[in-house]
Amino acid sequence: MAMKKETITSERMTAETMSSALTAENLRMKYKSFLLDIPELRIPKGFVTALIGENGAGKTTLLRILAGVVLNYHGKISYFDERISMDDTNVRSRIGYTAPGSYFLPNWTGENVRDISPTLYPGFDVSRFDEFIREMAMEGYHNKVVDMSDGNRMKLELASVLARNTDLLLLDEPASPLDPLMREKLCDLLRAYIADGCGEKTVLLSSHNVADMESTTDYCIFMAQGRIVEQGFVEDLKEKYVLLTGPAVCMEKLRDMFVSCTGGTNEYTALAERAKLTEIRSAAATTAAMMVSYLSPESEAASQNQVPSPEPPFEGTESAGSVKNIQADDAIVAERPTLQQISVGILRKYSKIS
Amino acid sequence: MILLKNSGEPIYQQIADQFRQDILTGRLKEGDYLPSIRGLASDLKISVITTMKAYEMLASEGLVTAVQGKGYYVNAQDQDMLKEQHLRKMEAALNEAIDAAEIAGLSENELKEILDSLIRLKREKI
Repeated sequence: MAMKKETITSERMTAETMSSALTAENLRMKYKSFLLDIPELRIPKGFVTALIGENGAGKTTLLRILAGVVLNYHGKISYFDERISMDDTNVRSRIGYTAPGSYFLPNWTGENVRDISPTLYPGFDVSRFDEFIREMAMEGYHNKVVDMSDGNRMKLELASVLARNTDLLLLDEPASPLDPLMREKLCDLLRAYIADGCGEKTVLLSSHNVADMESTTDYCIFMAQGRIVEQGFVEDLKEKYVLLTGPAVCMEKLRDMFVSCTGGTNEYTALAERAKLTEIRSAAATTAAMMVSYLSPESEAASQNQVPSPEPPFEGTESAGSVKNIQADDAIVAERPTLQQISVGILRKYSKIS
Repeated sequence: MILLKNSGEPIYQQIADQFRQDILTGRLKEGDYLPSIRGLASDLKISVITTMKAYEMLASEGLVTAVQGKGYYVNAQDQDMLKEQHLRKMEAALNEAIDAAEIAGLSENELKEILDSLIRLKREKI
């Protein structure tokens, strides 16, 4: 048994050891005062990767560069773990790209898209396209693209990209124009795409709807001000970080030990690294002890004696009650965070939003 | 497989628990392959990485082994370990019964009598 355990540890997947669907080195692009600066990028093959960041973090720019829509960048991009670039004629046919806005010509109808796509993309399967349109219950199929609602335009884009024979999907905010039910459908479609690929098909998407997409997100890349500030597999991030909730007075003093924190007058919620939990707890105990003497100066001597005792006796009054709460070892409660909570915690650290 | 999405217990844990149960009760036998990671993720409407983590957990317990490109198969189960698992389960259940008996105010003998008659009932059914 012990031997088996060892082999497993060595098989623990990391972005470094797994094969990549896409790698990039020294990606840089300047646009007015904005600078995209990514020394290294790896998108794990066979998974759904989500780009998460505030508006203006550079997600769309990055996706446009990777999709070959924007060309005035510096750096080197290789696709499918081979030494192949976007110039290779084969590569474009293996990549599907969607973005909100006018990807299709504005006066095309759904029928035009259906008729023309097989000429544009050799692997386009018209019957699968029809099936996706039906599955997503797309409406206004006969309208011009320009007259379609944002939601229906996205459905049309998704149907046409999924009907092709691709190995990599680059989807810029696919969930944003969709309603909650359709977002769930989108997750189903992406999981089916990944399952169908048996580890060879990959999705890279950007999303503000982290919670809606959590059930299909495997790897996350967090961006702020044109840079990657954190990345990892979701299950690893959930181990790395911990969500803390505790009394505001106490948490405020520990601010520097958190990734970020927020809260009202009563309690604070913070994201912290699990590795720092012991350190935080002991700092919290010290802070609480100081607070006790501050809040009830008349019983200072007594409370100092009481702090180490596991169940400090307290007499009646309301303030003594709240002091007791702060004293307790579990005054700060630690939880396993959701992806949404990790995202908010990390983005807040780099945000200008107060 | 039933997964509770809001139970607070991590999904990967729930998946691992159910496969562990299937392996220990013999429903999954030595050499059987677990469902493919990506197929199961799609079926259960969860992410690939969550399924992967569940399988890794089972592998670290020595219940299954990963084969590159082929998936995870069930290992030969150590009979002593299986027995140990069942013993532990039985002890937990009996302890629960003892606690309940105490709350109900039953004497030690009454508890033993009930256990005896329950065993007798079960035998008769068989």
